[in-house]
Amino acid sequence: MSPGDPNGLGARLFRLGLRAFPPDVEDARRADMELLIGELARDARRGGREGIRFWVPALVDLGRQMVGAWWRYMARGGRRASSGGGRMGGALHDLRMAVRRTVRQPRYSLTVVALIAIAIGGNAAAFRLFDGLFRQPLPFPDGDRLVDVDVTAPAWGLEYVHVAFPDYHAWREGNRTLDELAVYDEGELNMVGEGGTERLPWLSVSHSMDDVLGLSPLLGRFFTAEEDVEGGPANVMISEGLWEREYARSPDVLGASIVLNGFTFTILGVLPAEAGFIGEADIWFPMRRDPATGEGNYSMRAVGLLAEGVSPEQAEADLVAVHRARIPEKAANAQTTPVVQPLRTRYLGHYRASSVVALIAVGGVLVLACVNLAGLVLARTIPRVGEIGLRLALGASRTRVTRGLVAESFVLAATGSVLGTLLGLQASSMVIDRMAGQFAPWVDFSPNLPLIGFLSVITVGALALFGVAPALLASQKAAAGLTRRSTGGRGQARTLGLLIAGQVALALALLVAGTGVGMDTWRLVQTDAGVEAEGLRVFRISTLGSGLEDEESEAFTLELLSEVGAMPGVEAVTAVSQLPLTDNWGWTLETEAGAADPESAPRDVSQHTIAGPDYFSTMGIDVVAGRAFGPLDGVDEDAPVAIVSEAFVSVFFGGSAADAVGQRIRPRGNETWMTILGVVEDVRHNGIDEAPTLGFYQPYTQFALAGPWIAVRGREGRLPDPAALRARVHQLHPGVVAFDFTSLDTIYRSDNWARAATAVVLAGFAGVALLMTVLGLYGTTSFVVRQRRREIGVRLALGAAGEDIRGLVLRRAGLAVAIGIVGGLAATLAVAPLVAALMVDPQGTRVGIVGAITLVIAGVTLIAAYLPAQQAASVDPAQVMRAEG
Amino acid sequence: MKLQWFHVLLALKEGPLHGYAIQRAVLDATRDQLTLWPATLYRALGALEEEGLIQQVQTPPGESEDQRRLYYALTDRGLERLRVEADDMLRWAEAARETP
Repeated sequence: MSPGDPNGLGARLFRLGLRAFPPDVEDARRADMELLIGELARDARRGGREGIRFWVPALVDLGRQMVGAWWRYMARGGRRASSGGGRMGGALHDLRMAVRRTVRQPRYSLTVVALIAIAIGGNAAAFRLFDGLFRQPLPFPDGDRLVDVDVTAPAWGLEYVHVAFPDYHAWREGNRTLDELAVYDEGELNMVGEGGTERLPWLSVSHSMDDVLGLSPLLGRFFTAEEDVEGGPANVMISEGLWEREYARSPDVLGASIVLNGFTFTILGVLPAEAGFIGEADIWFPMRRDPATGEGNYSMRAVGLLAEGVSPEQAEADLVAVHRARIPEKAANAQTTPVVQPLRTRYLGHYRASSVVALIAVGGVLVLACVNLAGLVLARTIPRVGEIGLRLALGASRTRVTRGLVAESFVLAATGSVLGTLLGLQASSMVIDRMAGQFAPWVDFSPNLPLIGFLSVITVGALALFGVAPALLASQKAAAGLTRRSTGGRGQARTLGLLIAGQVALALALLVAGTGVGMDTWRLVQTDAGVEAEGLRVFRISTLGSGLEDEESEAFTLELLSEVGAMPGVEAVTAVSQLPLTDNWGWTLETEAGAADPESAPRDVSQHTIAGPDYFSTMGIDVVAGRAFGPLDGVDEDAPVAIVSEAFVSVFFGGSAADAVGQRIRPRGNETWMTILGVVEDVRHNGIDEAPTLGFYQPYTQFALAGPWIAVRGREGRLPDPAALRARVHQLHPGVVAFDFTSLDTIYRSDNWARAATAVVLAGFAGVALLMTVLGLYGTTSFVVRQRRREIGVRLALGAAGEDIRGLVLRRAGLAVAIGIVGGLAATLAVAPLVAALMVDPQGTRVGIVGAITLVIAGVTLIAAYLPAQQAASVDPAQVMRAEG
Repeated sequence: MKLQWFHVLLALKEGPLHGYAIQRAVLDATRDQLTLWPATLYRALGALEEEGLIQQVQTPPGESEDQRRLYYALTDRGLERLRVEADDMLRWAEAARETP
């Protein structure tokens, strides 16, 4: 960058900057400046101040002056000193004036900006979540043709039982509607590395998975059909993350060996990021299964690629036909049915109702805020009708005057919108982070163009409602020749009355919805889960890869329990095969009576839990009849025992719990009978919003307890420290991994978090709505009273009593509130089905609640109107007459 | 009055000058302490012109014939304003020198 060079970068930038000055800077002056910079550059070169030391301050100075020049140009309304004005310049001038006015009235400006920010923020958050869940395309080449395939079994009391491998094999061979079908299973394993034993999530997939998802490996290749057979080669694919962590992205990873759970595998390739769609896994195994075995093992998930032009319903009908054709070889297929659904519907469908209700609620709040602000703006603009009329009379066009009035609202709306967008993005990020584990990995919540478009549209809509409409109304009145003395007339009172009615209606509908969902959630939180979740620390241990044999693993678990039980602060400890909301293993059982008549016997699936020592007392599950397992129960192989839940008793025995004790049950198809030792209370294993599962427990002495959960109850409700527990496990055996440390309370609360958050947000918005309505009613009634002071003064002078005046004001406000309540009740009925979809027990919202809310709204709004009415009644007629001249 | 405006008026007291000459004169007068970069100089010239303190004039005889050069000269109001400002400065300077 040579300073003297007229074609140097600095000189060119300077010339460019000169051209960017506003048009009122004369060409002659620009030419002179160019000449001057050339001369200064030449001097600088002679003085040895070359390069950036010269050009940076020169260009910074140019930029600073350019900004100032544009600012002055806009302030002049875009006019050259000697020429006429431009439309753009006039608008900029209006904006500048509007900015000044908003700064001069901070209370009003802050109120408007805060209301708009809350409303736009709510919309930004709700739309971002809805967009991510239901609108963003899936990250696959044929994402819209991907379907989830599962199996439903109402006869077993289960909505989804997942897929058995032989059924999948038959569907894949026999269907005519899918281009490809794949199955997968998931779990976690131990990998022994340099840094110790690491826990890795894995997926076992059929070789067809890459074709279904349209994946290409980053490195190497996928499994072939020939390799994906029972006894096939022990190959794996690894994730990009593992490739980076363990192999520093080296291409030599191909063909390398990896030891997993104590077995050696060969790495065949590296997975692309999109492979994480079905579950974040570091290892992919081929299925390597025999399609002739595992008929009763419903543990797999299936995903299919619809053929072009085929609907999920057509594919489902096709698979059902193939499924039913297997009945002769597999009788269970008469009770199970394949279900084909778009991926979104299957995994996100249950979020649709809350997303839509949230969108409607925030939309309602936005409209309410706009209606409220419209009243506020109108109340501020109407007193200026006289002044506006004068400006029109002096030759200003109506467009010009309206634009001036709208500019202020525009500045406030734009500021509120930007603030609200930031607030909304922040709030939605918190929700997304909080629920990270509950959404499928393919859900994409990145802010995008549709979000910006949506927010721009609603901002413009809001501006039209609260800024443009009142401005048009005011300029229309001014143009019609209304003077300062006008009281505004009946039309104005009607407009304000309608605004009030609209606010009351929206507030009522929002309050009913918010209260209904809130109360429903409250009842749910109070529901007894069947276990005492509070103060229960839980974690899992895995002995895989530790070198311990099966029996040694069991001995290790018992030793760990006794060690942990002796730790300070521990009240009780147990081990168990599955915890509520974690795994879900079920068996179909039969009673002795049922075995005699298998056709009519219930086929409901029971939750199969293997209970460690002191299981029921540690978990806080009450024994209703009989007794809990003792240390010797189940030891004798010839005298197997079981404990069942109350729900189990009611389905299988129908009688009292005590009658079930001593009865015998067994898994369908088994020979050996188990004697029921006791009946325990029901546990809501699938969440407190789900019905209790049928519970069937076996003691650990009778059924092996592999990779168990350990549940530790702290004294006085205090949770034991995870670090101390982990250290104790490591101390006992360094090869055993302890992981998934959490508390049962956290598990239940996470499951309910979305519902609780929806309730809190709805209740919050309902509160904001009520507050806005009350303030709006107070403001507009006060305004109407002020406007009509003269009329009130005349009435009082003519002999009207204060009570008459108060009654007059209250009647008008009361009419508006009454119309609003009717509208609100209609709106409540209209959205009732949607709101009901959010509730566990919609019947809980009774007419009484709606009535109480209506009364509350009527009460607070009438109080809000009473204060200005009282002011009206105490108007001094003589004073008013003097003031009005 | 802004310091750079004062110095522009001061520079023009000796007679009409173009932008570069004004810039040099200000540097000389302030012992290189005040650099008027082109954009700031022309902002000052524009503002002083709007106030009626200086005006554009024809190229003085014997000066460069470069058509792009603009020459400025003090108006009577400008000269008067310069004196008022200078008097103020003098008063402030004396006040500052006085020992308390």
